[in-house]
Amino acid sequence: MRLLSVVAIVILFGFLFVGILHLHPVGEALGNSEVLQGRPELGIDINGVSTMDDYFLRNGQIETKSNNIVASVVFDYRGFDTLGEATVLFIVVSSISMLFFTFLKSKSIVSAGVPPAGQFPKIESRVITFGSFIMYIMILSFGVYLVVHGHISPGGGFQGGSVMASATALLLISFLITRHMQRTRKIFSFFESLGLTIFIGLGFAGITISFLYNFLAHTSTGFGRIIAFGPNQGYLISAGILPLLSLAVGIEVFFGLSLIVVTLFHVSGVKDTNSLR
Amino acid sequence: MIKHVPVLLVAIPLLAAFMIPMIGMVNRTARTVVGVIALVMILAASYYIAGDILVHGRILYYMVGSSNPEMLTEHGLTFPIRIGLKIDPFSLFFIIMTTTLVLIFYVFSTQYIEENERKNYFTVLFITMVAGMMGLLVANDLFTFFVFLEILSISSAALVAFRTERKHPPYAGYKYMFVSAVATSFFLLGVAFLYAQYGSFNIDYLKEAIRGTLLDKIAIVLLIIPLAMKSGVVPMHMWIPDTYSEAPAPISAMVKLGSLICLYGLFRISFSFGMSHAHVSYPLGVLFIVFGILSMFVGVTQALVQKDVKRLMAFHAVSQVGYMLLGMGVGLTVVKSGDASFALFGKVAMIGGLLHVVNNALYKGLLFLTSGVMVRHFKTRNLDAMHGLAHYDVFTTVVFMIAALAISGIPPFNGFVSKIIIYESVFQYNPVLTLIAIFVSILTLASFMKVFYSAFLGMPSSRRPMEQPVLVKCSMFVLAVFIVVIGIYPQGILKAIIEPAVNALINF
Amino acid sequence: MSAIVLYVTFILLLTIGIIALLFKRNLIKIVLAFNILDSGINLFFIALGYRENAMAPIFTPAPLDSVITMVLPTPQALILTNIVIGFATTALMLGVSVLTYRNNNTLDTRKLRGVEEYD
Repeated sequence: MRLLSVVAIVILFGFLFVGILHLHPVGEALGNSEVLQGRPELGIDINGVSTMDDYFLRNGQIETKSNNIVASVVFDYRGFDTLGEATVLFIVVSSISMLFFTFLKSKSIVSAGVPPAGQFPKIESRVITFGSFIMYIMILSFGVYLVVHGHISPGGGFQGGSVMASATALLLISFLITRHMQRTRKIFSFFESLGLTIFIGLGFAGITISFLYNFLAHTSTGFGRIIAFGPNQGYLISAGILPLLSLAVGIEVFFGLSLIVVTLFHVSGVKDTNSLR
Repeated sequence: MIKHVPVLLVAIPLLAAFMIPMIGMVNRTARTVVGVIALVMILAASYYIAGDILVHGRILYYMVGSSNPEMLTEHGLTFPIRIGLKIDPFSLFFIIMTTTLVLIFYVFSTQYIEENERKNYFTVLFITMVAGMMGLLVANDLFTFFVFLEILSISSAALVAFRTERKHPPYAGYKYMFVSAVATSFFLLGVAFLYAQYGSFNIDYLKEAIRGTLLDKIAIVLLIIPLAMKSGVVPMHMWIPDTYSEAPAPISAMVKLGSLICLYGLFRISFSFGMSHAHVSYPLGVLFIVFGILSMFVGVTQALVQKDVKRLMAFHAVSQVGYMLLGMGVGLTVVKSGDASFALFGKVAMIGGLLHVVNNALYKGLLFLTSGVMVRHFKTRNLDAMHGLAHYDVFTTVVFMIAALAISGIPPFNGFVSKIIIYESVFQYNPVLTLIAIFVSILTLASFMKVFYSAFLGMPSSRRPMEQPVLVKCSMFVLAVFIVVIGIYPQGILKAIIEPAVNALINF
Repeated sequence: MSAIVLYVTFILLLTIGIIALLFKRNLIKIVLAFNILDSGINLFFIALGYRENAMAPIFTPAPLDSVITMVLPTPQALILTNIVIGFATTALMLGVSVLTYRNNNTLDTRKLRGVEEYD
């Protein structure tokens, strides 16, 4: 069996090695590398566009009105994949809640290091509680910044949402939300579903033309503000439904990841497992 | 509205799944009803488009987010830039099968799984599993295919571990998740190799662009092996027994359906990328035949020695996949050979293989559901400890007999039809393969005789007879009716659905 | 051409991941091995879209030259998806291994092998 594994690894190694020898060299990706600036006309230009990525680089900014081409690929051109990706996160949150159901319902739960209600925790001190509260606000506002500016600068719903969820972890380790666990979980679960429903609702909103159609980008005011091609400072209200989708994903990721963290923290405090069987 | 059906098939279950946690907080009955509504809607949608596609030969294309979703390319480009969805007769065949069966399994699970707050999550994961299946079936884009493969496998893995209070289900879920995660990672690697050369993910575009170079062959192998692994073909079948035997009965049936849909992906990808060159299609066909023979033989010999009723059925699931691979593999070897052999028997073999897919989904689903009823009655999965169920549960006995005779290929039932088609057509390719297939079929009959003898006959057990809930009975009855109808009148489904599906696959 | 190191790193990560997957017996270590494998594939995908002397495909901080070179945006978008999926897989596998440990008091696959009881 061991020998068989070694042979399999060697074959796979050789297979991939031959593969990369035949690939294009690193740094010379397909297509034309240059994005020409100073195009006066604001229309779709397909001259010299030979691959999908070329098209995105040259026309993505004009078509989706977003400075961040990655964001326009994520939420506009390949928005359906992003819906699937958000669904994967939703599934794993539901799975964790389902798998640890008996743990969460058990009456004999004592969360790790947390004293019963009404007593002061031993580790609690003014420095920790106040300091983590300050840090909580700062981390949260940085996460919100990343979510809201996802279509202008690097960032977006997933990144900002996970930054915000790390703030929840901070609250947990500083014992600020260890009580009222059930209520916290219910609220988080509600908002997670809400974020996803907003996402798919925005998809359905354009169904007269097509699912996930960027209907706001085809006006010329508000979210459809016309952006000149090339470098510019960017506008917060632009890029059609991209910021809204990003916000919906941000809500979903924040509450979903927080729910995972809270649940697993809760589970880690269950000492007596035999009573759960 | 018909042009939006490809995306609605995915979006409606997803919307239902996203809303169920919110609804479940308020009312549990409403949550179950929302699930039923979503599944009925996709069932209706799939039958609604069936006439247009099968009779008029129309193929539905959908570019998600495009201003003109039915147009493949925009702005005069030669390649698609958005995610493409597509429904042709081949995928429609699988879509109709899936939407029908998931509704039956869902109805079964509403009364089979005990009602508590945990069932909210069960319902959510069940519906997302359906969404994953529909996404796989409509996707015309390799990366979307990958994403929905992940959706399918993650929700299945969680549901396999549903009964966490027992000893083994969590480990079975771990095993399934591990196999799926590795398989999908390698699938993504194959996608990367194709993207590096052609800069696109669209299956139709890649089919035209593919040149049959060494890199293409590496990519095709990396795409096919993971899908074969997910459908439980023999060298990669180690996850099957644990997964099927530890999951709750409706979930075993659903995971089985999911593995058939991975088989759909296997056929779609090998026929898309392999058909363009004979030096690719012939080795692929031979690979399918080898996999098929191995699966049939190893599966059934392992099943013979099992004492656990669900493990026995799991090994039969492996063995049945072999028949489909054999039929499709024979078709694939001769499809590009240029002589008359394809018209003579290749196409017939493929028809037999596809008919076996739907037959297998029906009787295997019914067998898993009856095994759930048996396990619930006897409180054990050990065949030695079961006896005498026929004395007080006549209904379960009859449906089990129907399913067992169908899987063994006994004439009035549907398994016989597809098996005889495969035997006859494969005989003209190579008689030895047919002999092996008939031998495997006999062993299957022997193994189910064992189950019937030990669980249903014999002294009645001292346990109090348990009346099955009405919806459990209904869903099993509907499956049995399908089995008998296809067995008596197979021409209907053959002419209406399977021939257009095979033609679409060949001329695709 | 020194950038070939990206491909080599990819192969090394993948091989390390596979070796660990096949030879490690601890459920948690298997999860780690899967993560190594996954990051190898992510690196490979990103390397496919890399261009020398190019910048990220974001116009806000771009220089005001007449010609800008940008790396391909699609691999980056897809890898974002794959990272989230990898995270989800990891979370689920870790959750299930916690339950496995609680039910069996071991994480060793050799001791977990075989489902003999028919409960």
